[in-house]
Amino acid sequence: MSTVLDVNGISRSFGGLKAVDEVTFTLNKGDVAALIGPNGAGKTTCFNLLSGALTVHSGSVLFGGHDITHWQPHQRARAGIGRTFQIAATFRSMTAIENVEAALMAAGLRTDTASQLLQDVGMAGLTGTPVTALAYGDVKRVELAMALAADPVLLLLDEPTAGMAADERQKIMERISDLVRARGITVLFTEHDMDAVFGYASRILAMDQGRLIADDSPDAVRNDARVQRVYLGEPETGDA
Amino acid sequence: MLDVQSIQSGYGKALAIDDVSFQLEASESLAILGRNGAGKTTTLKTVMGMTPAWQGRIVFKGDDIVNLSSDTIARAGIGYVPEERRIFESLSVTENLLTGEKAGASGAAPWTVERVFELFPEIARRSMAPAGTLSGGERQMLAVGRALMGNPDLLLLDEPSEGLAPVVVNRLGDALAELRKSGIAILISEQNRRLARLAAENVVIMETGRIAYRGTFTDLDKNPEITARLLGV
Amino acid sequence: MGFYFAQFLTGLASASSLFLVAAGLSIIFGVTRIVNFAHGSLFMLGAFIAYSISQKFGFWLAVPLAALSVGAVGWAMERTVLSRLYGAPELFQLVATFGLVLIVQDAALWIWGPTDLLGPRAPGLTGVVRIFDQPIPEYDLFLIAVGVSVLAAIWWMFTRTRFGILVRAATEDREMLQALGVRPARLFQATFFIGAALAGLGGALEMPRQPASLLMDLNIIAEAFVVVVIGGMGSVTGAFLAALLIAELNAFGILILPEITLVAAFAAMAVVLVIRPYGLLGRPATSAPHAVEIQPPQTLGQTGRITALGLVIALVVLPFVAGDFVIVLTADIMIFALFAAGLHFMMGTGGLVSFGHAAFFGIGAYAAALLVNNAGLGMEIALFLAPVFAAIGAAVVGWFAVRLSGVYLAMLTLAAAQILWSASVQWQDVTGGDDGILGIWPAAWASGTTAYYYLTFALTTSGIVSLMMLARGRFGILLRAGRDAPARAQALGIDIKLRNWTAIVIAGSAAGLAGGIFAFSKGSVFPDTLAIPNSVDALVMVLLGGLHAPAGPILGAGVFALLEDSLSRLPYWRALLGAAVVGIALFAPGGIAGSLSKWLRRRREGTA
Repeated sequence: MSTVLDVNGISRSFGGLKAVDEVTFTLNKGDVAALIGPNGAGKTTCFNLLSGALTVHSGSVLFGGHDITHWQPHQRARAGIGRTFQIAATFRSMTAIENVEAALMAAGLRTDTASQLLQDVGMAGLTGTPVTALAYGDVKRVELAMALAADPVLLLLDEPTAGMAADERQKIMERISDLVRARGITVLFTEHDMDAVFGYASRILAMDQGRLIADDSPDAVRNDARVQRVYLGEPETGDA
Repeated sequence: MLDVQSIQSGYGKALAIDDVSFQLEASESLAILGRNGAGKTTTLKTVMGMTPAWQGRIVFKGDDIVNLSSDTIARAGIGYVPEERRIFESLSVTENLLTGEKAGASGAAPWTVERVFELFPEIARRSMAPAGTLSGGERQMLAVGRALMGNPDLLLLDEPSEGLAPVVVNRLGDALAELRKSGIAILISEQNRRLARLAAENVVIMETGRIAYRGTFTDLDKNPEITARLLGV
Repeated sequence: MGFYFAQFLTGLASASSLFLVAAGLSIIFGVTRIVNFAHGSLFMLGAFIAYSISQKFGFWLAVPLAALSVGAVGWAMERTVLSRLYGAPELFQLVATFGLVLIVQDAALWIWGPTDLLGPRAPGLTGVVRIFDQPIPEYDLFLIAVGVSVLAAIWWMFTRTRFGILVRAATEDREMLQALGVRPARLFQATFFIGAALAGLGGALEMPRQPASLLMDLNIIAEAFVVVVIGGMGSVTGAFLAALLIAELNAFGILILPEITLVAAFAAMAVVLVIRPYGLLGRPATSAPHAVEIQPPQTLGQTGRITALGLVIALVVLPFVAGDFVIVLTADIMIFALFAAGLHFMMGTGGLVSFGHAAFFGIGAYAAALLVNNAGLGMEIALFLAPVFAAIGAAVVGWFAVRLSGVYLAMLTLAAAQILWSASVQWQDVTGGDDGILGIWPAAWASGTTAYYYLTFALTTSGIVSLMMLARGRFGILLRAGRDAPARAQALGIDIKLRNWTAIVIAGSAAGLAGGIFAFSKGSVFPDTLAIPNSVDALVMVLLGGLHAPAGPILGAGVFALLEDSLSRLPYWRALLGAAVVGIALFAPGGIAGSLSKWLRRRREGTA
C-alpha cells in the first residue's frame, strides 16, 4: 500500500503548553482514520498543523513524498489536501452552488460539475439558495462538496457531524463513507460521536495531553486500557 | 438557587444544546458528565450569558438571568472558570486574581489574595510571575482562584481536569471538596468522573446536546451499563 | 560630538509629543479595538484649547486644563458615536472616526479661525542650557522629562492601580474580563478619557514649539500611525520606543538629506515589519473582525441594465446638446466615478479599506504631469504610464498591508497619502510645491473640450466596465471568497495575500488612470490631489452609492458632484460631509443604492 501522509515527530507549543508533542504516524491510501481524544488532547492543533493553518515547531510532514512541513495552507490545498472545519466555513455572500463553483475555480477547474457535486453530497434542491438561508446540516453538506471539488488525495474532516441533529449524523457519515470509498480518498477525521468513530473508521488514532497514545484497529483501541482511562477518568475502584 | 428551564442554544445556525433543564439548591453541587461535544461547555456558557439562549429560562436566586450580559450575571454571584482557563498571560499571578475582585463583597469571610494563596500554595510561590509562564495545573488553580475573588455563591467549572496530569487532578479535587464544605454551590462539567464526584453529589449526563441521564453518583455506580453506553469509548 | 548630542536631544524632545499621541491611540485600540482616526484631532484641540486658556490663565494652568478638556471631548465622542459601533464591521468604526476628523476640523475653524495661533512660551523655561557647548532650549529638556514621566506614570497606572490592571486584562481578553463582572462600558469610557487626555496634553505642550494650526491633526495622526505600527498595536512601551526611533531618524536624517525624513519613517517601518510582523512589542491579533458587512453583491437587474444603456447613450450625445460647463462637469464626474470604482472594488469585493486612496490618484496626476513637462513625453504615453506608477505605489503600500490585519491597511494608506502630500508641498524643485505644475495640456487631437470629453468617456467607461467585469468574474469571486471566509478560501488553494495585493494594485492603477486624465483635463496638478480631503471624497462616493451595489460608485460620484456643487459654498461644508459620513456609518450602512433596493424590495413584497 502506498503511503499518502507521513507525519514525523511533529510538536507545537503555545507559551509553556505543549499542545502537540512528538506525534508520529502514517496514513496509507484508502485509510479512513479517526483521531480521538478528550478535549484539550491536541486534536485540533494537530489538524491545523497538517492543513498548514499553524506551523510546527519541530518535526516534519511528508505528503505524497514531498516535504510540506513549511508549506502555506493554499499550497497544501493545491497539492491535494482538502479539509472541512469544525464550524462549517462557507462563503456567506454566495449561494450553495456559487460556493461550490468558487471551490472549483480555486482549483482551476471548470465549474459545470458544481451541481453534480452538490447532488453527490445529498443536496439536489436548494442549490440556488444563499448559504445564509440554509439549515446547518445543508451548510455542512455544501462545505463537504467544496472540500471534494478539487478531487483531493487526502481529506481532513474536523468533526463532520458536529452541530447536527441526532438523526442527521448517521446520514452524513454514510454519505461521506460512500463518497471517499468510491473516489479512493484517504481520510483523517476527528469526531466526538463515538458511533460515528466506531461505525466508519478503519483505524483509530487516540491522543492525550498532546501525545499519541494509541494507533490501531477500532476493536483494539476500544479495549485499550489507556484510552479508556483518559475517557472515563481513573478506573473506579470497587468501593468508590 | 439555580433553575435552568429547557434551554436551547448553539453557534450561528449550529445547534449545540436542546431542552436542557436542571436545578441546583444553595450549597448543593451538580456535575455534568458527557463526552466531548455533548454540549457541556455550551450549557455553562449559556448560564453565564456568553452564548445566547435561543429558548428557555434561567432563574438564579429568584431572578430570571437568561441572556443578561455576562458581567451582570457575574455580579449576581456566579463565578466562572472557563474550559481554556483564559488567564491573562501578560499579567502576574496576583494581578490576575485582582481582576476577579468585585466591589461590595458579601459574606463573613470574603475571599482575598491571601486566602486564595492558602488554598493554592502552588501559585503563591509564583505570585509575581507572569501567568503565561505557569504550567497547566497552576493555570487552572489561578483560574479557580480568580473566580473565587468575586465571592460567588455558585461556581461554574468547565472541565477543570482537561489536559492535567492525574496527580494534579487529585490536588484540584481536594481543593474543590474543601470549597464545597465552605458552602459554595458548584456546577462542574467533566469527563473525569473521579474529579466530578469529589466536587459534586448529583450528576446529569449529556449526550449530543440533550440530557440523557440524571441522578446521583451512588445510583450511577449501580448501573455500569449506563456509564458504558453514555460515557465509554 | 556636542552637535550630534544636541541633535539627539532635539530628537528626544520631538519624540515626547509623538509618544503622548501614540500612547493614547494604542491604549484606546488595546481596550476597544477601535483605531481612532480622530486622535490627531484631539491633539490639535489640545493645542487650540491650551492657547485659549493661556491667554487668560497663563501657560502652566493651560496645559493641564487643556488635557482634561480634551479628555472630556474624547469621552463625549465615545458616548455619542463610538459606543454605538462596538459590534459593527471595522469599516464603519473607522469611517465614523474619520467623519469626526472632518467635524472637529471645521469646529476648530469656526471657533479659532483659519490663522495659526502661536501660544506663550513656558514661563521659567525660556532660556537655553549649554551642554557640550551647544545651546539646548530648557523647554526641550522639560519635554524630554515629561515624556519619561508620562511613561512612568502610565507604567505606574498599569501595574499599581486596579484600573490599569483591568485595562491590560481587557487588551488581552475582553470577553473573559466581562465574565468576571467588569462592566465594559465604564472601562471603555475611562480608556477614551485617558487616551484623549494624553493626546490633548501632547497638543498643549507643543504651544511654545509650533503654533496651533488646522493642519496639525492629519500631520500627527500619520506619524502616530507609523509609530504604533512599528511599536506594536496596543503596546505603550512599543509606542515609546518607536516614537524615539522615528524622532531620532528625523533629527539625524534632516542633517543628511532633508527630503529623506519623509521616507525614513516608511523605510523604518518596512525593516521592522519584515523582522517582526506585529511590530516591536506587538502580539498577533487573536481574531480579526470582518472589515465590511458580508453581503451578496447586488445585481443590476432588468431596470438597471436599461438605465445603464440609457446613461451610456446620454453620455454619448451630451456634447451635442449641452454647453461647455455641463460637458466639463460631466467629465469630472466620470473621472471621479473611475477613482471611486477602484476603491469600491477593493473595499466592497475585497473587504480592503483604504483611507488614503488619493495617494494613488495623486501619483497618477503627478506622474502624468512630470512625464510631459520634465521627460518631454506625449500625452498618450503619459496616460499609459500614470496608472503604472500608481500601481507601483499601491504595490508598495499593499505589500505592508497584506501582511497585517484589516485596520493596518486603512492606517497605512492614510499615512502614505499624508506623507506624499507633504512631499509634494515640500519638494519644490520637482513638484513646484504649493504652486503645483502648470501647463499640462492634452495632445493636439484631444485638446478641444468635446474631444477630451470623448477621450475621458472612453477611458473611464472602459476602466469602470473592466472593474465591474473583474468583480463579477473569476478574480472577483475568489477575492470575495477570501473576504468571506479566509481560512476556508486558503484551504481551497486560494493565495489570499497575493490576491488581496493584486486587488490593491488594480484599485491603485484605476485611481492613477483617473488622476492622469484629471491632470490633462485641468492642465495643472496641485498637492491637493494627494490630500486627505480628496481621499474622503472618494470614500464618501463609495459609501453614498453603496458598497455592495455594482452601480454604487457611479451613483455616488454623480450625487456627490451635485451635492458639492450646491453645498460646497456653505462655510462648513466639510463638517456637513463629516456628519454625513458618521450618519452613514450609524444609520445607513447600505448607502443610497442599498437603501433604495431595500425600499424597492419592501414595496414589491408589500404589493405582492
